[in-house]
Amino acid sequence: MLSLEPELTTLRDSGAIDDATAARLIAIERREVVSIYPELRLLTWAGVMLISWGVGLYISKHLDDIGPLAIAATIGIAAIACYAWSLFKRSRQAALADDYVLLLAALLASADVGYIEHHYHLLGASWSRHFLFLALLHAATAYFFNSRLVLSLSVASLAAWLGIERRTVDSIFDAPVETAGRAFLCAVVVILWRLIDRAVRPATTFSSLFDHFAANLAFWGGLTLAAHKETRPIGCAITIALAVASMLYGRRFREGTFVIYAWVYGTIAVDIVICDAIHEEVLIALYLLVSTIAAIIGLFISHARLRRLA
Amino acid sequence: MNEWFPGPSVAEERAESLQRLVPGIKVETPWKHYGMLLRIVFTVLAAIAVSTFFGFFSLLMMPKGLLSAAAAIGTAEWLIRKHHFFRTGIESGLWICGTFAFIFGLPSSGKVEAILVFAAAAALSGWRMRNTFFGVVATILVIAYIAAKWNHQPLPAMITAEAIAIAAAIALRRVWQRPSTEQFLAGLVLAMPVTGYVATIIQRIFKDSLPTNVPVALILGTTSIVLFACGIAWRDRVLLVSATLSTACAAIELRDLFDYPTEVKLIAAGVLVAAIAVILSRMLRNATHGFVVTPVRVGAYDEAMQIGGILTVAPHGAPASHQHSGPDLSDSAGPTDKSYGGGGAGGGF
Repeated sequence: MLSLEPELTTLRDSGAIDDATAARLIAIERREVVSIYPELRLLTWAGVMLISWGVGLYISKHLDDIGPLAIAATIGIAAIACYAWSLFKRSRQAALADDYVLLLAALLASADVGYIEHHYHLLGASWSRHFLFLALLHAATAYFFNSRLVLSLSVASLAAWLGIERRTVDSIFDAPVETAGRAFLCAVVVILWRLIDRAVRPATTFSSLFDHFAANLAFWGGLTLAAHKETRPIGCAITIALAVASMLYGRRFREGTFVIYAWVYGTIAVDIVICDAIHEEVLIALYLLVSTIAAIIGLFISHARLRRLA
Repeated sequence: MNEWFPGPSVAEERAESLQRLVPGIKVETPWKHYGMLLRIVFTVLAAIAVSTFFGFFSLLMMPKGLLSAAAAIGTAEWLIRKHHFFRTGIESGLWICGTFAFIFGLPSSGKVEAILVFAAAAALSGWRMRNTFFGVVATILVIAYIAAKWNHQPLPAMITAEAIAIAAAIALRRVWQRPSTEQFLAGLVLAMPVTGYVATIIQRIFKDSLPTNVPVALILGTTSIVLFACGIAWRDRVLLVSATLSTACAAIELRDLFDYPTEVKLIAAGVLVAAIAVILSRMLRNATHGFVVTPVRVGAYDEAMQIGGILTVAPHGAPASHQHSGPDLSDSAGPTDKSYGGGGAGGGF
């Protein structure tokens, strides 16, 4: 075990921290008080993930064995029960499992809606609109309960409706323009959503989640174009432009992750362009060595500047 | 460390730990160190740099391993000595990739003992960089060697891994001065049960069936009980987490003893796990001493991992009967999206 009690005592005696803070931290160091809150949260999350996995497997294996109505009704009732529990708990003292019961409700609702559409074809040729319904349902739930976890499901459903989530690797190479177009469109929708959310709710905690989704969607759109020979120049140009934007955003709002995005995605785009132009293996290896070292130095300097600004 | 191998002193390491505990205080240290994400990025970039260096000299038919190792380790030591880099990810990435490049440059003998050479390289890098991850990787490679050497017997790897876990757990009871030593021991306690079990799975995976191995489950169960008892007695969260992992591995190994479909077992396990968490949190909600459930801030990485997990576990599939009909893009020329997943919805699951 490690004990920082001597250092904490010194800090307390020098007045760097107050007595109450010192007492609390020393109690933690002595293990008189040990919070297992993070572990229990993780355990609850793991439980929800296992249930969701099991339900998905159950549906796929029993599509024809059990009546579809029974499957849809059972999962639907379970989802409604979880939503009802979350609603019941909303006005009461917050408990550790609350977030995850809500998450389970959302996952079960997704599975149920997906199953109903798969089996009954309610939307016919427009089947994918059930993703839009889910995006709206999860968004409403996320706002009502202020849940970032459920919001992530909503954005994922939106991406699926726009046809870019979980596309296979083949689609990146077979239909790069379409895939990239859908990714850019989704990124724009997420940015607009973020702007409206920020304008309507200044105290929102969702902005960073929107930012990361939008940035990664846009970068992946650019790299999808760059992966295809015919669209490579425009794909690389877009990715480099996005990297510049990401760098400016990262510096403006002191967000180190966006500086990392800028260097990593930007370097990949530049590497694709240059390696495409060079045909000598030795020169490609030499160039990659130089570009990687340049990326390391660049990221190091950018991060040092960001630290100085902070 | 010392004048031959400079690095943060005990006091400097402790000061950095203190700063994490009390973020407001100012700690003077000459060493540059970064957060987890940046360290991972720098390590990956350093690995790419060493790989391309290795590839470049390979194409030139020059002694690639020796040159790569000399350049990487030389640069890492220069960064440490001249610019006080330590735990930035760059110097540690260069060190481990340098040692690995040296080994890759040697003529291959095809013997399993080669794994031990990589373990020694990881251990050397871990010792020099005082890097928990490299130290744990070295130990994992030792377990991998045992599993490869006695590839028809799962028990040697399993017993060794669990013995290391228990020894590390007991060692954690001692008061350590360096936080990095404590982190290394905690890493061993967490990684070894899972490593030992995964090694036995890999040994058996290429066979026709994967029958239940009761001795393996018993070892995991015994370790779990020991770690759990120690965790409760010493109020050590790491031991409790490791005990939970061991229990999960034992439950997976004993899965065939319960004659239910996989999905039922998954749902039952999920309900059980969530119920345990809820019951514990309710039992401890008024506790002010010993184990408590005082909320602590969930870090950005924790949330990112949870969201990543949600998006991964959420069911997905591709029904043959459906064609994507989302908003059509004017430039759509390729096949439409048939993916049937997103936000947990899907038919294929």
